[in-house]
Amino acid sequence: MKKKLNAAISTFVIMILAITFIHGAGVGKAQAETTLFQKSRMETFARLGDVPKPKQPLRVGVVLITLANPFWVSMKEGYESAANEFGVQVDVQAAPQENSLTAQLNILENMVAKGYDAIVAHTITAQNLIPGLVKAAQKGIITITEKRVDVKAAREAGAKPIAIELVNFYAQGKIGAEYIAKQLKKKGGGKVAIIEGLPGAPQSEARRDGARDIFKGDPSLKLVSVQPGDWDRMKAYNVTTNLLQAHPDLKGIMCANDVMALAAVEAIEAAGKKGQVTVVGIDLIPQGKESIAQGRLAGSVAFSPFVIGELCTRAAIAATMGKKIPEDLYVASVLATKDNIHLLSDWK
Amino acid sequence: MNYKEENIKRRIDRFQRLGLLAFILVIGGLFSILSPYFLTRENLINILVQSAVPIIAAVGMTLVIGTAGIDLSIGSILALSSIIMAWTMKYEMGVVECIALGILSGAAMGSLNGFGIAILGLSPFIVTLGTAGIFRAIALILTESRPIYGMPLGFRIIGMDRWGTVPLSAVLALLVAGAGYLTIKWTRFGANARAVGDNPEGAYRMGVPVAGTLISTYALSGSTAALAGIIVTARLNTAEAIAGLGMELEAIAAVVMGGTSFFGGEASIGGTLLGALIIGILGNGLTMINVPSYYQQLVIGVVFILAVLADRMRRKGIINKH
Repeated sequence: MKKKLNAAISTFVIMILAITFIHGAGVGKAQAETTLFQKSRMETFARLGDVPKPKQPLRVGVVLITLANPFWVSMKEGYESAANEFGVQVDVQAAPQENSLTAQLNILENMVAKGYDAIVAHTITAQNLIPGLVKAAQKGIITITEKRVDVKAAREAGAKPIAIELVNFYAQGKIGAEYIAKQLKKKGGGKVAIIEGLPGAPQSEARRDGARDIFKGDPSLKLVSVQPGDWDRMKAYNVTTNLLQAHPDLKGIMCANDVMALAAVEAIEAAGKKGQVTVVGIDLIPQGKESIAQGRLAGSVAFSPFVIGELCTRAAIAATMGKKIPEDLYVASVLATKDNIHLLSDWK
Repeated sequence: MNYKEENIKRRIDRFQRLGLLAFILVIGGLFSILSPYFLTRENLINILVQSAVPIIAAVGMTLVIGTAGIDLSIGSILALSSIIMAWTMKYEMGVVECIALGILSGAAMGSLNGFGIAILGLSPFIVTLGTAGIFRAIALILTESRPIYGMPLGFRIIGMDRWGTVPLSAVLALLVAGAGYLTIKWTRFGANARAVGDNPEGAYRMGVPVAGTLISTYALSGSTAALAGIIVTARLNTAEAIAGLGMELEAIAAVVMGGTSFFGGEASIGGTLLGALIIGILGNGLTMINVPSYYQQLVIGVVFILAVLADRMRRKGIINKH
């Protein structure tokens, strides 16, 4: 009887040990592989440095562009998450639509009248929030905004915004093009092309320039064409078809967003060249993620609006403590490919 | 209209405006209790500045609805006239000339509406819905949807408001409302417009120049839209093709809340002014107490319908008593 009990106990102990060991190993493995979301957070926050928890209560106001778009909703959640983490009050308001210029200014002015310690303002155009920023300066409220704001005009009008980069579109073009260059190097280089967005749109131009600088700087690559795709699926499809016609040996295409990259993939497959051209997009839309998982789209450069919200909250807190905010503060973009797509589980 | 009817109408109007005033006091009081920042000098100035554009646009709309019409094109007129004005300013034309040109272009666009309604005999809804698309499209085509930035300082002053001073835009709005009031109450044109709205056939027989009155009414509506455009452009330091989107609905809401009937024949500028202020106060106060913008639209919609309903019931009550 006693023997039986001993055996049972030892079996039990061994089982526990085994489970702990297996489980522990699992945890260890997960810790070794940082997810893309965590990677982006760490790189993003490193540029700002440590932000201590404020000792006295702080009120931060946030003016978003709109909430009629999942991108901005996710950013709002980032703000709220950081507010919890640091124990500060964050109020988020948004204009009803992406083009409600006056309504957005009204919201900023109303928030200034409420008197926050700091206000973060994501402007719709370079000009529309300037009168509100001026009022904030007159009241001594710290304002954080994007470099997209016409900072010179704002300063002349009497505003004192801290203008940060927020999103580095040039780096996004570079990251995508670097991946194409690395993949093609294995095959001895070759011809590449860029499909930009709407000509003249700042994000489009910055992304294009980033990709172009990488392609031109690599002797094994030959940049044969830079074409506008106007952010449009149909146009990008036709451009890709024409590119393949002119350069049957094309090896890589960097696209300024995922919608155009997905169209390029379709056009390549329709031309019977499946798998022969490495296509990378930007934005990591759900459809792009699916396409990467299927091994069709090679990769997509992703940046997290959630992390933008967290970053801006941290910057606002740091600014109220008198810390100098670096101008080149922006959310770190990461590249999603077939090799790391399993690390996107917590992406938001 | 005989003496007794006139008397009843006056009582209805007075009741209407008293009701709106009482409502403003109630929501004002409520917001003051809920937010310590509502009843401050700077915030009241905010409300005035933010209401200036809707007030000016709604004055023109009051006249139009008084003739039993509607003008859905004011947002597009605002955008196109602002662009014409900003463009000429970029070519170093004087500020005053550019402002005059902007208002004139608004009047011209309004006259076009009036022409379609009075001469071609199309319904106001259809004509202005059509021109709303046309004017907006021209604005988009001319600018390739790129905004025009950087107006001269002499012009931007119109949109500025420093703490402690009375903002120019609010003064302008009150002047326009005053002019609208005088036009409707004391001018031949105002009487004609109301007559046309009441009964176009009868007005015609009485010798009222119906076509001319209608064209002038829509021209005035176009001018007030352009005037509102001046303030928007000066405030944002930007003229662009998407300016004034959806503004016609806000103006119509203010007019109808103010007691002007959709069936024409009457027009209350005082009521319109209060209606526009109610919308402005709601928008401001709801932000003050941190209500998200979608709920703000919901609240404003509900208040609008309740206001019109209350007015209808009061009217019935007074008429039944007599």
